[in-house]
Amino acid sequence: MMHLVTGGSGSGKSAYAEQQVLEAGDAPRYYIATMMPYGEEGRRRVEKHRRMRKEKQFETIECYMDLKQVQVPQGSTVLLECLSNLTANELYDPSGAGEGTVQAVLDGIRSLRAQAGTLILVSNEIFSDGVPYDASMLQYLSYLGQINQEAAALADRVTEVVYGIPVPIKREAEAAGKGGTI
Amino acid sequence: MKLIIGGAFQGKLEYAKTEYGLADGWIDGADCVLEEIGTCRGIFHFEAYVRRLLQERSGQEQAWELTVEAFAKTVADHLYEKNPELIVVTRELGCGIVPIDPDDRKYRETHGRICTELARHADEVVRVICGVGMRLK
Repeated sequence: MMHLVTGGSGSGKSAYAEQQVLEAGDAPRYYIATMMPYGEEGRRRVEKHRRMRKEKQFETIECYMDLKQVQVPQGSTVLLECLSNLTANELYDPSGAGEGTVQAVLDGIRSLRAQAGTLILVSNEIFSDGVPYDASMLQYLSYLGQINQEAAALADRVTEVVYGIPVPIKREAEAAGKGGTI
Repeated sequence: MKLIIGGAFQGKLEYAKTEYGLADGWIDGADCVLEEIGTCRGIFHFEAYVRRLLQERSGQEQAWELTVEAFAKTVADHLYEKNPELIVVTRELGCGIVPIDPDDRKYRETHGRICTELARHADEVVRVICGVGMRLK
């Protein structure tokens, strides 16, 4: 089962995604951390997430780039947070995939999907502020937009979290081709 | 408590006025007296209210991440306790690129977390798009 979870800043998407992991049962839990801890604010963020994961018995795998090399035991529960960091790392880091970012991230998602019993991906709603951006930022937005779309197509469920409320975007019945729209 | 959310210029306030039959008794979060929120019937531009609240409190908090959540919960719980029938109209502003300025980042996240706490308390959450309300809760 693959579930894509998205939402804006402070929307509660991480808490929701973690809850989904806990509800997925007792299979070993893996957390794929993608954020390079820049500066004080970044360090605190990473620190906070580490504490939470320890309490919830996650094993943490740090992966800033090249997601497809990550190996987890077959059938495990995997939470990847988040696609927006991974995309930024691949695009902007000198050792990243650059123009091959979309392919690199999607290959990684497909690889994880083949290994995990439950795969939960967290992404980010960053497309709705209407501010004009430079070419580099537009490239990033376009890449993440493509990745979100492909991930949603692969997913059994897609949920947008709005202020802690899960809003279903794609349900399992639809994924199985049983119809029904929102 | 009711929470009405949505992007800018979507008709959120008009929707709330009509939906809840409340033509007046509203305060504007951009220029009201901060304490008025405890007694008014409805507040619009709650996003501006949050920014003013942060400006007032700036320099008082210590750790970044923990206090954003603790602060948000304190504000929301206190508000619900004081004015449980309040109608809150606010702009969704957390769905863009992460701002470069740290204060903007903090404002954006704090607003999101306060709204998440308010949504938990609210018996109704409606997202207004093009003047049309979608009931989320």
